Amino acid sequence: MMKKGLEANKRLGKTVRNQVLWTRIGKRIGRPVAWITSGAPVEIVLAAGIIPFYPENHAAICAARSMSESLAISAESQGYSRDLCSYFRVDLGSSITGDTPLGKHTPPDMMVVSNNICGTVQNWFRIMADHYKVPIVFVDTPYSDGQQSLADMAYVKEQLLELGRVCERVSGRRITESRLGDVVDRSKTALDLWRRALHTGASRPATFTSFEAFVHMAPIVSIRGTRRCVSYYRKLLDELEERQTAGIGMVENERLRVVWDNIAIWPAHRELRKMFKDMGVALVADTYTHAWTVEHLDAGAPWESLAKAYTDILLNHGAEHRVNVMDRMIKDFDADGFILHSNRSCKRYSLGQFMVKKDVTKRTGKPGVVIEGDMADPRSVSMDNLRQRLEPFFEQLGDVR
Amino acid sequence: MDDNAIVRIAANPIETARQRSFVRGRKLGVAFSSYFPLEIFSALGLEGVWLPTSPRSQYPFADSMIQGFACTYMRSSAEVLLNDELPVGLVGGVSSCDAQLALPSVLTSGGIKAPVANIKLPISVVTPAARKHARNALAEFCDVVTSALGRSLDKVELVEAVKSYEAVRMRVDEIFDMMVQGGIYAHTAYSAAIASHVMHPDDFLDATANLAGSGTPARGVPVILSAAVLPSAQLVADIEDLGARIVADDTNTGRRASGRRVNGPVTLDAIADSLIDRPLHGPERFVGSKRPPQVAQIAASAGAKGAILVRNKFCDPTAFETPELIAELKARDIPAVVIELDREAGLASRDRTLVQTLLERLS
Repeated sequence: MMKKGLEANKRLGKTVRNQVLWTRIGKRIGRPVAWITSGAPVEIVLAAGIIPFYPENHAAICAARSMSESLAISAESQGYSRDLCSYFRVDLGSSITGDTPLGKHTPPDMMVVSNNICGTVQNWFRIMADHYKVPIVFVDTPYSDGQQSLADMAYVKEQLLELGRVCERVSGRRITESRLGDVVDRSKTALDLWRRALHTGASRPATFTSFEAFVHMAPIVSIRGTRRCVSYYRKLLDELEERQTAGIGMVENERLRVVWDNIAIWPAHRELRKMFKDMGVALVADTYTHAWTVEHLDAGAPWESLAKAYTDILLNHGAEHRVNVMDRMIKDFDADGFILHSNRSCKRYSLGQFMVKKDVTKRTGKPGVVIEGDMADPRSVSMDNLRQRLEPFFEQLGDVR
Repeated sequence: MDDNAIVRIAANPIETARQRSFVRGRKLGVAFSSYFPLEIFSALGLEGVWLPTSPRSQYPFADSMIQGFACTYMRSSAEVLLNDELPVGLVGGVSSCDAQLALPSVLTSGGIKAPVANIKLPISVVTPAARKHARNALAEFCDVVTSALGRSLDKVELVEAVKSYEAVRMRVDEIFDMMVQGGIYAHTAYSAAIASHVMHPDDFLDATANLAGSGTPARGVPVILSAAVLPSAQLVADIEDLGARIVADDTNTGRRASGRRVNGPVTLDAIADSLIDRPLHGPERFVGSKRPPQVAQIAASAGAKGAILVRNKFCDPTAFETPELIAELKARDIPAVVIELDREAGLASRDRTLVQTLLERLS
């Protein structure tokens, strides 16, 4: 049984627009705005009454709206190499030109950056902090090939406390343990709902696929810690569970199931989704959207749990950890194979993928393929090349099944 | 040993490291970051080297493990180690850019026989918490590697090694001072810097004892050279041949690494502190917005009329910084030229023209 698009799609646009609107209104009534990385502990920012804004989300929206090329070129004209992260180039280009699909920019009062997702953001946000002449707080989260140590956690916690002090100074509002605990609790609830929503992709046919998840992850990135976020994912999960019970899949005549590694290829998102659907391939899970399913948050010990949650995330570990995650994902989601998006813009996510491919296949017996692309720069994405890699791969998977 | 001998060593540093291991009868401790304290290797019974770039026409082992958008330094390091070109007892890294963070996984998966471990040195070196964490990270690294190697850290040897390597770094600084004053060719000075990363400290100090005044004073347009890791001393020779005189250095190969000092009684904490207190950090560390003005100030103080900024293709920290550095230099009336190197060891013809144009404009 098939049913067209999710009802949640309508709510998504409204939710994103409302957040942008809230940033502007908040600014007008004296609430400070922090530009923040997707992997930074936003709960502390929220507990201080500061409104967060996510440049990464903004860059993804620019890419999905076909604005990224011209914005990237604007940044390149300032001397920034085309080899640098396309999200950075798009965002800087947007700040330089003022062009944005959101209407206009709300300038930041501070920058909050954490290097748990990549080393790019520390440079990107520093450059933006200079551009807007605002303070920057950098939360340095030690990268570890294995597990992070107690000393690592203590280091991060000390920096989180400092972040809290800076946020209090910027907003003039004290962060109480109870207020922070409430925000952490809402984040935890939303993360849990999101995790359950993603896991509906495990059913046959897959109720939810990564093509939808890439889009519906926007609230978990940009408004986690809020009641709106909890409400959004509760409704999404209700809808997905209803469809799951009714046996409604995202891909008609689901023939194959695959897992994805890395960020979406936004310039080719629609074409890829259509291609997968046409070929009966369900993209049942991915390492990217699942990165926002951390389980360490504890409202009773907010500072410690935030330190652990934001240090122990996928991209802050070596490739062996990724192999473990993909191995489990392939088994949990009953996938036939996997795709590694070698993302020219993201070295942290991409370097090491050749060994991930080899080791995941060794562990699971499932074949994988590496495809080359970019998350936002259409000049580094060729739909023809993607087809040439993926179509034979799907045929091969079909033969194996 | 004369200047030419140092130049020859720098031209083939991998072979020098191999011979050192053979002569000393100990395996190598190989670091792939200028931040790695080589004295730790000595205390573990290893001969410590900081792996230089080893440019070559093909990288079959590395290319099978790493995508095309990684810098040549990473590719070269992986190639040397995966191709078993050196007798390695331990590989040590330091938290740094995303490419360097990926290298341990690549090496391990590529089947390297020696243990590989990283010092989780803070990326941000400007917070009070960073110093404490650097100490913890170095102690943790030592615990991990002593356990992997099944031997403990020899504290007597550590003290000796700290003194020896400190003497090496001070000698490199002296050589660079000579270069700045025009007493020695930059090609020789950078050759000495590269040699210092692979030679035994005693051998290096012997070899460079008589370098003072042995070169013909170089002449030319005074410039600052800024880069991460230089691919070879040949690059410097090429720049000098075009009529530049390097009067200030901002490279991992040179002053950034040689400026480190271990103060007070030798302890692991003092070594960790020396990494945080390095007078000139590279752009891979977070020092707020201080670095470009600091480098521009160094250039201005040295009387540089121009700047040659070498960018290794796909080196993100350098690429992020380049526009700001150019602006800071320009504010001090120091025009800059950017040379982007991929797999080249020296100046390609297009870059030769760029440097030439800059020098003609300034002379």
